[in-house]
Amino acid sequence: MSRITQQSSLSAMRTDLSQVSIRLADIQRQVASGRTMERASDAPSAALESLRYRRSLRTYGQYERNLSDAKNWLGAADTGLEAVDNRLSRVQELTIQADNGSLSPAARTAISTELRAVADELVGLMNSDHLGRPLFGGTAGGDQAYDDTGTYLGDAGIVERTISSGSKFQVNVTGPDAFGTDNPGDPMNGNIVEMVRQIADDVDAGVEVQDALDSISNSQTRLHSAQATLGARLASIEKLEARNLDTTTDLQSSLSRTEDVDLTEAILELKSQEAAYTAALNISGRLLSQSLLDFIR
Amino acid sequence: MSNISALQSALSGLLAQRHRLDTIGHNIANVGTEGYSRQRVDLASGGNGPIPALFSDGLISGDGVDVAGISRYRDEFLEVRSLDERSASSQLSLQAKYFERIELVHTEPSDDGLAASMDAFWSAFDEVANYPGEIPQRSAALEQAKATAGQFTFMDEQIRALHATAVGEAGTIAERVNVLATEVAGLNDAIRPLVLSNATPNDLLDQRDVALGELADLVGARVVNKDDGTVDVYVGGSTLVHSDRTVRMEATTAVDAGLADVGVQRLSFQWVGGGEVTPSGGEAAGLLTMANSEIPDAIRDLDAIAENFVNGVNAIHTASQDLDLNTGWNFFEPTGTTAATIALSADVDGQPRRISAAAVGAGELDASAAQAIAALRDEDGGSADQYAELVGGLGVIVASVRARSTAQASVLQRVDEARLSARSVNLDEEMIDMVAAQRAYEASARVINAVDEMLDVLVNRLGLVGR
Repeated sequence: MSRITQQSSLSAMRTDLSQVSIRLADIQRQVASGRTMERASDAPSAALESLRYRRSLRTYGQYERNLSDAKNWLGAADTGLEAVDNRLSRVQELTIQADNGSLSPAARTAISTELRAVADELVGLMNSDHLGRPLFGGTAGGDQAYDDTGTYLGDAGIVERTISSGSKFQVNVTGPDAFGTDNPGDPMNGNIVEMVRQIADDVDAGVEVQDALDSISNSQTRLHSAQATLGARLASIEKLEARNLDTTTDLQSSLSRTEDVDLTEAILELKSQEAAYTAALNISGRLLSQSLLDFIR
Repeated sequence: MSNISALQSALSGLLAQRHRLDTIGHNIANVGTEGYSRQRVDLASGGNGPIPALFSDGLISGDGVDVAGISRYRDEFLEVRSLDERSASSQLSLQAKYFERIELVHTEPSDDGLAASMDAFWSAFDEVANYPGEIPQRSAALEQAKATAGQFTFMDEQIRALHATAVGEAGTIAERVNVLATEVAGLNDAIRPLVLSNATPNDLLDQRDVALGELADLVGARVVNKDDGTVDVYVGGSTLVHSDRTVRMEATTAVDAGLADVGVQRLSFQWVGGGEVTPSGGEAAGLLTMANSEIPDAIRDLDAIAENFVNGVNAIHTASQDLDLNTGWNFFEPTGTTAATIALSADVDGQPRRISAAAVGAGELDASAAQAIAALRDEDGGSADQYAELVGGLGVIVASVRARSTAQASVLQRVDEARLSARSVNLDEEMIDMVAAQRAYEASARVINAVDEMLDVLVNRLGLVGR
């Protein structure tokens, strides 16, 4: 530059000062907001990563809800099956008592009455619901899986929860799987309500109930296998939940690495920019006040 | 040579130095004036003397100094270069400004942008899948769908508003260009007679330079200097100013087949007498690019995502069955496949039971269709992927336009500094000149004194020998 004039040096100073103060404002904003970028253009590739992490976090948040809902469902189903198992044991006891030729008619009536009460109780338990929806009714609509006579109203539909991208998890067991299939012609080989009511009728009529013990034991085996299935699912849901939590934590720390300001670095940078700004102001102030006017008469 | 001639020379010196001082005063007064070129008095020695004749003695010592003129100091090459750089710089900075505004519409990455809204929509369908028989979950899904559709529409409106802003700004630019063109023509008219009569209208020339600079900013105007001191101004090869006449321009919008799909009008600048203005740079060129190509593209990009979103959901929804075992309901209005028109269909609006969450033929509480819709969130090339691409792509464009604009601004800054260093006033120089002029003035006065004393000897003391 051949000549330095008031205007050219002022203009250069203005530009330099504004550049330093832009850098200062930028780093100040980063420290204050804690984020390295406000908009995608600040760091396009990091912004894409951050967009992906945020999407995944929201998605995994939903999977977490699905998983915990699945866990609740499985828990409720497990409780229901356990109660049914409990009642079946009572049926077994009563049947063994009834399987005794020397029982008085009064004692028989007492047993059959209790058996009928247990059958009604079983209908209630088999209609256990989770948030208003019958647990053992498959995907059929309606409030009940079984009617009062013990007839299955549901279907064989599968109830699933989406637990990660592209994979689903079955949460339900249907009534027939756990409690046996309706069989009006042969109640002893039908579902447990039909079976218990038949036993009660047989006890009243004085019919031999020895064979019923086999049917009860078959029902118990079926029920236990359904319980085992649910238990295994519950165990794997817990593992899935733990894994989901891990993934979420990983995503959060990745997001933080992508977006968040390293405070130590940023504050150091802020200090150095501050120093640069002060120095620039200092020098500019000194140069601006220099003039030949101070030295000639 | 006569004593009278020496007096004349000294007088011309006095006058010349006074002239110099006047000019120095003018320079100092304008030390901060934008566009001012420093001026210098050109001095020439008046040494010609009388025409040689029969009785001339042949010894001519000249008769003082003449003020030959007052010239402007500036670098013509840098002046022209500065106009070019200004027009490129304003074009880029305007484009950067508009791109940044488009980016602001998208507000990503964040937890309340369109990406989050679409995610909330998928999640709402996951909830329907979890509780297929529950009306509250279904109603929530409908509300969320409305909110997401509203977000699309809102962003679309914001981008369209940007187009309207561009059209408005174009009108302002055309107005300003007309005002400046008239100013340049007026100055041409004032300058020409002065130049033809050999005067130096330096300050008028400076004023005209300021107006020409602004014209370069606005429309990338080119300037051609004429011998009579006037300038012709061209925009995209057509004349804006010729001598003292101007051609007016205006900004207009018209329906255009290429933009029919996005429903915005094409922006153009027209000469009032007919013909389209094609600005080669400046804000006007930047505006045309943004309004006729970049903003429509931004609308199209958003539309493509809306279309993918609507069609993806509807394809599953229409092929599934609702809570009452009916089938064939559209979830979104199938004709609303742009960001502006996306809307919940009349089939399901206010009818939560009609959300078709179940596969056809399955039980009422089957949720496989709702799960399939929720799974669209992970679809390869689905709307979520598409949107991420858009945001990333936009980020890259904005960053690169901004970088180019910054680079161009610093080029302009360098050129302007060089230009200023050639033309603007340096106070130290003026001080030194002032001291020099002052001393020269004193010296000329001393000459008059000396001649006066010589005359005194001649007039009053001659013939007084021995007295």
